[in-house]
Amino acid sequence: MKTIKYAVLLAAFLPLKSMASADSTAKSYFYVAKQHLESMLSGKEQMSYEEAIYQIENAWWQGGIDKASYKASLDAHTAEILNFAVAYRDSIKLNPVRDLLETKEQKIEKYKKALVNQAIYSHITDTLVFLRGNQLAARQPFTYSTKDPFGTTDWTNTQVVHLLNKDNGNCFALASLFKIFSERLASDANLCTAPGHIYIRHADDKGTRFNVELSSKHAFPGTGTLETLTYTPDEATKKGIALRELDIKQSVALCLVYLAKGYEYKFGIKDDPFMLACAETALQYDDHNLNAMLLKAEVMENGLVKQNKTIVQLGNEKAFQDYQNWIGHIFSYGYREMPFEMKNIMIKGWTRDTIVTLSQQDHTPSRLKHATLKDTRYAGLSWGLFDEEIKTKPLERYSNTVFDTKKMKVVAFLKSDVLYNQYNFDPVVFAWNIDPLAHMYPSISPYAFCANSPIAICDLDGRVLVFKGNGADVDRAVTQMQSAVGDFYTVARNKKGVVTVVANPSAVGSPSIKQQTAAQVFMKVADPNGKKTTIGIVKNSDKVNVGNFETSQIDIGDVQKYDNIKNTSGSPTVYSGSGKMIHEIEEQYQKQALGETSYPKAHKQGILQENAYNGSTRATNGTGEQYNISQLKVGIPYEEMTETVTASDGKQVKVTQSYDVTNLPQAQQGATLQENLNSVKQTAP
Amino acid sequence: MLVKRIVALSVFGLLPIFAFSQIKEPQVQPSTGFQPVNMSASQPSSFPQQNRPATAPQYPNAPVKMGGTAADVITSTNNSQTLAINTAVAQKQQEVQQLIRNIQAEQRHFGGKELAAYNRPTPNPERTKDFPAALKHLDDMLSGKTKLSVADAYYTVEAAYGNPYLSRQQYYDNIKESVVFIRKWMMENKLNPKDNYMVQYAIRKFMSETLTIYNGKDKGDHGAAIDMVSHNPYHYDYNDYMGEKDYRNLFLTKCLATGFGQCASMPIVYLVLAEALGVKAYLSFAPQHSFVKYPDNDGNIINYEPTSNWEITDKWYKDNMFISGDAVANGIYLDTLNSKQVVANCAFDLAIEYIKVDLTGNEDIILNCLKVGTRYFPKNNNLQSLFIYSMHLKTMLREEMRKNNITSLDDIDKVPAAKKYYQEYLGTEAYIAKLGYQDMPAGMYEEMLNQQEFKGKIQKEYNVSGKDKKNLFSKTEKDSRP
Repeated sequence: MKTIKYAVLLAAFLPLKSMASADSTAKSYFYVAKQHLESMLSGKEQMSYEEAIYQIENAWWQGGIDKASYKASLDAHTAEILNFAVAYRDSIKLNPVRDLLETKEQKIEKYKKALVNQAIYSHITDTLVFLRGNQLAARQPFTYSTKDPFGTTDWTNTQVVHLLNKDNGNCFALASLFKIFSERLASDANLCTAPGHIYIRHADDKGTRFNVELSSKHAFPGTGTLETLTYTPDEATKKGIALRELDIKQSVALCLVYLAKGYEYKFGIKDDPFMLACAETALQYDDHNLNAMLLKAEVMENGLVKQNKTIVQLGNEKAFQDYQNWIGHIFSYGYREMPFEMKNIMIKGWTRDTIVTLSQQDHTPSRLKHATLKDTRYAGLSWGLFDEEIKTKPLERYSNTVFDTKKMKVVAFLKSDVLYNQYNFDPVVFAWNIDPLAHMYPSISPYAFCANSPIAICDLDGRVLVFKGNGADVDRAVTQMQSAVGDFYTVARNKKGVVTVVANPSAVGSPSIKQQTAAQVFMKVADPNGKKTTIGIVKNSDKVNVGNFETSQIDIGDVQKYDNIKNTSGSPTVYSGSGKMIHEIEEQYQKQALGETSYPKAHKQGILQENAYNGSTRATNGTGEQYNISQLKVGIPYEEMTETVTASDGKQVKVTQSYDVTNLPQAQQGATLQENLNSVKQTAP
Repeated sequence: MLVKRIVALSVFGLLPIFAFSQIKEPQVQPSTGFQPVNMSASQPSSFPQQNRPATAPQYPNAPVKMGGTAADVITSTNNSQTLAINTAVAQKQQEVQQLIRNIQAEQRHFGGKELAAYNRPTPNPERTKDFPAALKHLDDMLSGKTKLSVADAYYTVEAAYGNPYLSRQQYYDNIKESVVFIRKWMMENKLNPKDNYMVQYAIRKFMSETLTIYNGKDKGDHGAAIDMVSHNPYHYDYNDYMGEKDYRNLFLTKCLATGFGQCASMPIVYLVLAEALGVKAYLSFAPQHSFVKYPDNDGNIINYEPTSNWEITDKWYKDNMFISGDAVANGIYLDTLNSKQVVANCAFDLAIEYIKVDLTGNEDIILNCLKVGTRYFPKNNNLQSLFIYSMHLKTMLREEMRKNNITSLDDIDKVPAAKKYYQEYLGTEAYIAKLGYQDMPAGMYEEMLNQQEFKGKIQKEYNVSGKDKKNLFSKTEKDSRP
């Protein structure tokens, strides 16, 4: 018996190659995943929580998760989170004053991280309402799997992939997703564990850290609430096995426990050496990991119970003594298992039954045994509904083991209690939905700094943007747009000319106001889920003067000329190629997507966007554009258009655009000039 | 641009600004949302199939600022006048923010408010002459040279400050009288004096209720008489509970003398009585607060809040005083300080008193106090000591800045001495944060202050002065004859 057991254990540690050749069943995926996690923990592979989650979930799906589309899905969510954060920036908070404790840069860092965390939180928990033209569209948040909080009925409820595909998951999946987004965006949110529960912890803009619940709305429970509802004795927190914030290493080690549990639920084996190996490796890197401790205990217990011997018979076996010591170890850390009645209440949730049962309980301690004198009055967080003192009993139960706490010995094995709905209450994994008890300061939240906005009305009058024309010209147009938005977005077009604008989550720093303005215009036009805005791209056409409202064209050659303005005015340059691009795209969007038929109105919108980007303003006193065509003659045709514009330094300048006229039709009302833009210059007025 | 018609002179003026497109009758539709993760077709038969086509990621638009549209945003920034107003408003907001920050920076642990230590013009040797001896006495107790006594330690420290409410004799008489009273009360109520739990119970009753004992006396020819002695409980004094007006309002001697104390002094009443009665009691800290922890007969530790006479769970303190798991694990709050640590902590109280009275800027005594006391906190988790040290570093930094005419924070690094203090200051603050200390969220702190203020107003309404000396013991002689 012993030798076989050790041989199997040894086999689990054999290199992958021989494993694969010897046993190419579904189990091998788990071994591979374990190897990856170990490589991460030992420093051979780069540590990444996202990668760790992918490994453990892909193992369960037997290699069935397409990594590219897993990443792509996360990319898309991350991009939207980033947009949300950018849109909510407060320019005042981005310009703090340094003080003794923090430099300006440190304050800005804190603020940015808090902003990103708020965006992640909103993305996961809030309903986001979009405006699409005349219609409201809603994106539902991710929801908590109330019917199967542990995932013991359907293990996929614990998976991030399940959240991404089905919008539903338990607290482990939700917290993991938050952690993945935070890892991508470097916002310093961490996983925190309590018995049977996992949540997020991160700082607000001042650096004060809060607990964040993802399975209930706007719940930021205090330490005491979390302890009370998870039956965590004060000693457990004190000794560092509960209510603890995990760093990346500890988070990856936790994934080993989940890998083992996935294994258990997939194959229905409860005492496999693979599971023990996962627990031991996890403990090697994080010796305070309660879940790993309980996993190890569970495997050992199952191995002993299976033998169907009495305690006396088992007494001298090393396995039994090891187990006894291990339970003593867990006991001395202050962990106590949740009592049966409380488990039932937690599984049932807040129903009439459970509330009645609860209210009939009174955990107010009665210390004084006296006929007339009364106890000193007692105040707990739950006013007696829950046991908050959790005194050590002479016999404590851990899973199916009865443990004598004075002698530190295992005295009996019992049969599992049957809980409500025969639900499998697994103490190794995370489950609970923590509904915070009424506490004194319900309005305290880490998102108070940005006004706790629960519903974001996002104005997205978006339609898709398509460029048609010669491939090289279209590429020039895309390049122009890219230069307007900088590294923070990626502008691209597909073979059909459909233009996409995607936020770049790995960009360092933040987009300037100019870049944000450009991005906002482009993105609203390029929304792929709506009506098309189709623009023909030409180069140096004499029929298109920068842009043509009626024919829906943009002359990219003309546009580029605005990046080469000869400026002798002494003021900053008032026009730019990107500004012109933005102007023209906005005009066409007004026309095609919004149905604006009036050129002046559309042109006006174009001007507004262009001005916002350039930082300059056209004079509003009515002179506007002036054309000098009096010098047109056959032979030397040219034309000038002058405008008076206010530069970003507040001074007025004169912009003169010179054209080469190619076709001079007979001078009559309604006839059309054909011309090419030659050059642009900017002078003092 | 518009294709140009040949006209003499075209004038394109700006048209008046219109509002963005009107929303008509919105109906909520489900968004198509995000593309799902592609799962391969080959699944084991017992699990549900996931057949999703692999498509390029597409996602909806970038959200724009709440409530507005790009056009609105641009319209508001378009107008240079508006820009100017925005800047002025922004500036004002910044000033207000800075003001708030300055105020918040002044708030600290009780007794440790940011003092004008750096404005120390004249020395005051008269006020501080007893400090070195006081510190030595504490050190002797801690090292075993003299008997360790919590009562002794507190009196020594409070007397050093000057003008204590009670003389040493009065102080010890008070404690003795209380002990005699409690023992008599226990006997008259048939409580077992050897039951430690019952002794602790008696202390709580003594502190929170009016208790009466009946002393039978034989008066010889006049027959028997009964001397009734009552003891009034201790109350919380809401007026100047932070000791800003008179630092002695935080003292044990003031509490014993007037019957009114606060969260620094009332737990010490308990500790001193417990020490005199021979039972164990611990001091425990919470943010800007302290209370008592005592063991029951099974060794379970129970909390006692003397300021309001409640036994309150740790979990309650954790939620309502914003205590984190880290703070508990590192022992900065809700820990149990034994007698030795309580006496060691007195050294820190002495340091703070010194800062309050001394104006010479002599940091040596402060550093000596820290040296004496921190030895008994091997985990270096006594917040009081850490705040005092941080304050000391700040004082030294300011001194260097003044000596070297450094007016900007950015210039500190230019002077090595200043830089050294600055780095150590930042390091100390970072260490404090690492231990799990964090400022309460502003709303929570305000709420607490408001509650205290409110109760203070009521106390004033009822003309209850917490500052009048009175004897809590009152005797009445009652003739037992009819």
